[in-house]
Amino acid sequence: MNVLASLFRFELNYQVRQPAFFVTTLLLLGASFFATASADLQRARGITTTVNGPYAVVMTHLVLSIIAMFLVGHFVGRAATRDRTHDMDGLVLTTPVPTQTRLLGQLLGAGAVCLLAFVAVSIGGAAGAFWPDIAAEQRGPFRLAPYLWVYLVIVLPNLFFCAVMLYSLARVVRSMMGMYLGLVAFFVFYEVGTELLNNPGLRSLAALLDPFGFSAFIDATGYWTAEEKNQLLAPVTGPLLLNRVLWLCVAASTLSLLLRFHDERRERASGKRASRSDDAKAPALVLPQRRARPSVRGASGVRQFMARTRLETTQLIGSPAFLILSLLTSFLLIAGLLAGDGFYGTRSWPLTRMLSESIQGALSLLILIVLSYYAAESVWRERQVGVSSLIDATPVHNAVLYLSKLIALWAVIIGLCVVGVGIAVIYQTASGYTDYEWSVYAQTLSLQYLLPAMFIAVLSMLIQIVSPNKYVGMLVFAGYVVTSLVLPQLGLEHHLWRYSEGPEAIYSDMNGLDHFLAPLLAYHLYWGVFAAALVVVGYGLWPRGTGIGLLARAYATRVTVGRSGALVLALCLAAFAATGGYIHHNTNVLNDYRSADATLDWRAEYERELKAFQSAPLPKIRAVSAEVAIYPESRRVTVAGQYRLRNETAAPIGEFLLSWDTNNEVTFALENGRAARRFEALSAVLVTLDEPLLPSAERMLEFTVDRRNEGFREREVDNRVVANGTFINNQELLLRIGYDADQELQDARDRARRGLDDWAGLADLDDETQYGRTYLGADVHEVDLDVTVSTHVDQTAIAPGRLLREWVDGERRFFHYRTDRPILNFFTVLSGDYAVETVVHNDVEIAVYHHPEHDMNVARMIEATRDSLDYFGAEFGPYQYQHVRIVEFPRYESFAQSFANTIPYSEDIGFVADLRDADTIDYVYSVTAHELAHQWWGHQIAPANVQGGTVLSESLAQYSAYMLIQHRYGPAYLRRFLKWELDRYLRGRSNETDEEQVLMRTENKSYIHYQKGGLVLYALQDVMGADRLHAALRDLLDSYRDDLQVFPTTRDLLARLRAEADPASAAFIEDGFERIMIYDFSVQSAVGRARPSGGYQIEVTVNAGRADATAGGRGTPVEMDEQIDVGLLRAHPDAPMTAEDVIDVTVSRLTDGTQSLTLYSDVQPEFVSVDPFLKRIDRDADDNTMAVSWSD
Amino acid sequence: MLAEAVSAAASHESADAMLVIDAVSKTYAKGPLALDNVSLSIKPGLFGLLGPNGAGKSTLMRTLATLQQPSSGSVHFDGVDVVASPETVRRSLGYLPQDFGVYPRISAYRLLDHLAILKGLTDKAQRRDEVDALLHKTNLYADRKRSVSTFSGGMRQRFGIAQALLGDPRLVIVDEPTAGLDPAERNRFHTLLAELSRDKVILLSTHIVDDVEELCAEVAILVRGRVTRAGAPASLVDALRGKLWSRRVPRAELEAVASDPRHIATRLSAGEPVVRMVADAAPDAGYEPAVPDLEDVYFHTLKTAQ
Repeated sequence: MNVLASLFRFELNYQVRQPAFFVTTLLLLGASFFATASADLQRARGITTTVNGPYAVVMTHLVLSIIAMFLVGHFVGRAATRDRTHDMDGLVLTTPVPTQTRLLGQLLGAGAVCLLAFVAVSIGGAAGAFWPDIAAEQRGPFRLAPYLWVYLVIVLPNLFFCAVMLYSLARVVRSMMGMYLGLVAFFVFYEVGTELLNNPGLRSLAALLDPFGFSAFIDATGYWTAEEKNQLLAPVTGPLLLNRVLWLCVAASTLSLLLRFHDERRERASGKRASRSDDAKAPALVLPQRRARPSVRGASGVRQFMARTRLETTQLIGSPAFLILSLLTSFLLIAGLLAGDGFYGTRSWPLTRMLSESIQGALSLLILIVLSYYAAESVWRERQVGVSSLIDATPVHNAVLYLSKLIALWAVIIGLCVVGVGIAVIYQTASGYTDYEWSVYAQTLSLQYLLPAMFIAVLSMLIQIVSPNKYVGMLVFAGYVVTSLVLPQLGLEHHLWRYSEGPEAIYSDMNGLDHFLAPLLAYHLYWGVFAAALVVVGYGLWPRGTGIGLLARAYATRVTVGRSGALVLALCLAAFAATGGYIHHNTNVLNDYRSADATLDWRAEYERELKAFQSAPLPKIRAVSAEVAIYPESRRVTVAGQYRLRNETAAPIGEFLLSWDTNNEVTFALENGRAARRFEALSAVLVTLDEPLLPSAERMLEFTVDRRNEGFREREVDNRVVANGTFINNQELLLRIGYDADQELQDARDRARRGLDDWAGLADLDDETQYGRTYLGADVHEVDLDVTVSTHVDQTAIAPGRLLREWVDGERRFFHYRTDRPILNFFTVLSGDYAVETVVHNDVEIAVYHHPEHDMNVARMIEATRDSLDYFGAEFGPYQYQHVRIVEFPRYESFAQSFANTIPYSEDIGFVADLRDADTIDYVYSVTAHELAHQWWGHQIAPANVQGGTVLSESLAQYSAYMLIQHRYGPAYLRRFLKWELDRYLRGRSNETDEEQVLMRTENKSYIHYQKGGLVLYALQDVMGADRLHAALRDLLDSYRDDLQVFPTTRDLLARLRAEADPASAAFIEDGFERIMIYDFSVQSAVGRARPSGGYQIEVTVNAGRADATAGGRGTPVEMDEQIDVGLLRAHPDAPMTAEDVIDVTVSRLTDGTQSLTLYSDVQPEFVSVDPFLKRIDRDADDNTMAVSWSD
Repeated sequence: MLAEAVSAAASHESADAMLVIDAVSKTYAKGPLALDNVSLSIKPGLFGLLGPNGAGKSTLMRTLATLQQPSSGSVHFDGVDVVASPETVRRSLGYLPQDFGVYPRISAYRLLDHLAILKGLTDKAQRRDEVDALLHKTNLYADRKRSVSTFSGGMRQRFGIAQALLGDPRLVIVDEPTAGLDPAERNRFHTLLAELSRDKVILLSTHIVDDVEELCAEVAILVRGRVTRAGAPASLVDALRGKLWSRRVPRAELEAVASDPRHIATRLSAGEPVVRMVADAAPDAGYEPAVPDLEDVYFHTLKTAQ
């Protein structure tokens, strides 16, 4: 035991003195500090997870304990292989200490080092909570319990597991490199496994199999609300306990196997090759008469450069580390590709632009590690191996030594990129997609990834050149990376200040890089010449010889840089200045540059100056006519338009506010009207009518708009008007009347910093003053529209209404549209080079305008449209227009949006979904149906501007889509959607930063109005019957469809629902809309047996209950007595199941508590499931299903 | 050999000196003066730099090999300022450092070829001849395909010699070249250096007096950064002639005798200590006149420098 203790102490003492200990401790400290200090950046206001509450503490430790496996690998690997690498084993193995003791001592010592380093996480996290930027309400009191919990349950087991496994591995493979390879393989396997199991149905399996307990912890706390996260520690029971015990056992048995069977002495057998005897017959030492002499310099420089570059490149690319990095890249990429992102887990076709982004994603963090590690290796290699005195004394120019290393480093970056492209192409081929688009790979990867990485490589090398040793260099580089992340917060937001960076650029299939290309090239040139200057500085300061300090080297630059170098440097700096000037001219002179803060300031200013006009009576726009000219090639739009204004109030109107988008230049003329006050900076004027507009009187407002794009912008890029795929709505293009409440800042801290009180939120549900306005804006109500859009002759322009005429005049193509019936004053104009697919269905023309190459799902969209028109028409009343136009637009936004008879649909969704696998969720159908349903919910009735408004648009549209899917494909198929919807709702409320509102009063929370709203209405049609629910909805439509003065609220919806409801349904309506009711069903047991008379009988024990969480937290249990489905199934509902898998569904009365049911079936069922179609919001739907066990 | 050595022994102001070191001093940030006002004029031929460990030999060698800059003073080779134009000097330079390493996973041939390119041997055929010849000369040809990192100490040293001779350098600086070589190898190396030394400066640093005695026309002794003696070995030895005395001493008295300021060294003869002293007359009864050699000069220098 004494020996063990001293071995332990030796290991500990030895390792904590190594620079690696210092560096890793610092990294962990920094990581947890910044994770905590920056945790509040994403937060809004109100109740939220505190930065140092139990949940936050556990998460920081948990995540870092996984990442820490790399440091554990380093320390235990070093312990396991050190004696061999330092050729100490001859001394060590001859000592009389038993192997077991030696191994255990080393392992425990190294493990203790890891733990010691890991304590930095706690210190960093605890300190990070005091970052002054963190709002007081996000900082809880310091509590010791979470730390104890996390060390006992997470940190110690994880470190022990890692240490044992990696130490054993290093012992068995006997090399650091081998151990690292295994570690990386494990890490990748872990990542891929986590992704593959990240599916609602597989979570309990994942919870068990995750050796770090991450999945188990998430499983235990996934649906916790913020309040719970701030107070509770996860109970160590169930999957979490099982997981911890399982993996501790795995580690313990591995350790005992190692101690029992490992024989160190056998390792020697295959030790290093003994060097051959080198004495041989000695030839005469006579040199040839004609000796080769060094040639003159010019010619040899190129040869030297080639030779150095070849050597450097083989040194880097040929090293095992590169192999590991390539594997890591490949696996990170593959893991990302297999993860199945996109809506509802449905994958997209593997388009080249997406794979290019995946490659960039896989490399984004890795490349910083590569650049930091390889720059250090490369700059210090000669000095480290000791060959520098040979190399440095040769007549090689510094530039040759430096540039060859730089190029080798670049080769590594490019090499990893090529590996990525290789994997991507294999993936594309395997997915049956062979349109590889090499030019897209080349363009996007070189411009968005390679060039910036190459510039950073130059900097990383320079840092190593001036640094006294490589660890300091790596730390300085890490400092640079962190600094570059926080520069915007320090006020240096403009990319002119941010080395190697440039504004965001988005590649779109429709529009290529288009308007992003010019700034991209300009910034690359700007940073490129700067990097070139750094190159000259780098080789000037190149560390040549020994003991030559930085100052001496700086002094020597007049020799090492020389005249030509100085000239290059001067030219680079001149070009840097010139490009900088050019960029500044574009971003700050031709365009207004506003920092992110300045934009917020602007919005605060807007509110301060104009809020007073919010409730002023306004004239209504009754008709819009406009000539819109779109110039895609110069990204310009001009408008000459008219509004017919009418006073529909009871009093004369003497003044009103007129405003427009800051990108637009506007003139206007109004009879008897003048601009009494101009708010230049706010793009608004107060118009005073010298002769007030009397009630019911009308007046014409004439205006012109010029929206130009000159040069390029730094931020707030105009992605609306582009070369191909212009998509702009009237609020962005035309004049607006009245105050725009959407400009108001909502974040409490943003407001406080600008001296504004907390945001008031939406108007209260009962604020009747807002019933006369829609939620889309003060000037959004029904208008007649007559618009002529012209565009380039190669493009098609689309606006709402009937196309009256289309003609060509020179290079311009004109389209004249007019609406047959009023539409909401919220419409779009689009222009692009589309392929069009048109069908006529019951007098409605359905047209899909799409990018010619995105034709995969067009037929499916048309089918969904046809089904929607039929089903919604039958259930809710007729479709109001003669057209449905679905129009693809570039991926600058990723939504589909419903305007009157026009549905702009992003190229990022729907068009490129890969629906070949029948088991995928066909969201193309559901999204199309949802948008079509908005033609009723949103365009036949528009919600009033109060709380709950989005229920009348989004919830009803989502519900309608569900019903169409159920109508067409049955409830078993619909369940696939509902499972995702339920999960999203529960996660949404878990991440809620405010108090969760009840459905009736929701304020634009998507998880409430889409997911909860859809689920509640779907359950309601089951409770009260779809017929009666739809009768209520028809009544709502009939009451408001033609009314222009008053808009409906959720109260109007509920009144009609209640009118149709029986008492049980009325109670359910109240629970669904006015409370937050969370159910929890579970099957406790399911035992079946064959009946003698034939058929089967299954005894089921069910637990049921529900809680009212309206007041927050887990809620209070409330009595339950409801009719709930209990299904007998052939397949698990998450399988996913099909209609054939459903044997029988019995409606059973369930009350709270445990109850027994007896079910009968002619067919032998595999599973019993309570609420198999997810008609209730269940806290944990995974335990609703159980496999039937058979007696006898 | 002896005649040549005598003729080469001349004052360091000689006009035909190729390498002129003038008042070179070097201080490191921490520690004493590493080089203290060193001045030497070195003509073509072999020049030995003798000194104990830490005397500043390697610092001087590295300075001459352009790998370090002197704190003050100047070095000219063929009239070219070594500090101001290192590039020019490097083209004529062959340098074998005291200790060096190599790239892993690169064969002797490839590494030598690579260094040849760096030395400016651009013609491929010529370079191959040169590399082959040097590998033969250093008896590494059979092992040319092996990675240098797997070489034994002696082989590695021979590789170092081979690379130092690449491109027929006119200034060859070899720092402790025979360390780790067996006697046969050492002989071969000496022969090679002697053969090469005709029209170039070969600077050899060592703490082994025999190396210098066998090879060098001129020698300088460096003690604690200062040149304490310089000249032809024969003339340095001559200065001690008639002043050197030796005596067999019992081990018990050795300590007392060794503390005598005139004592310069104790040699062993058949396991018995024999002390050597420098004095104008016999220090004591029992002392016999001895024939001085360079080693005596060296030890005498060390002693007097203290």
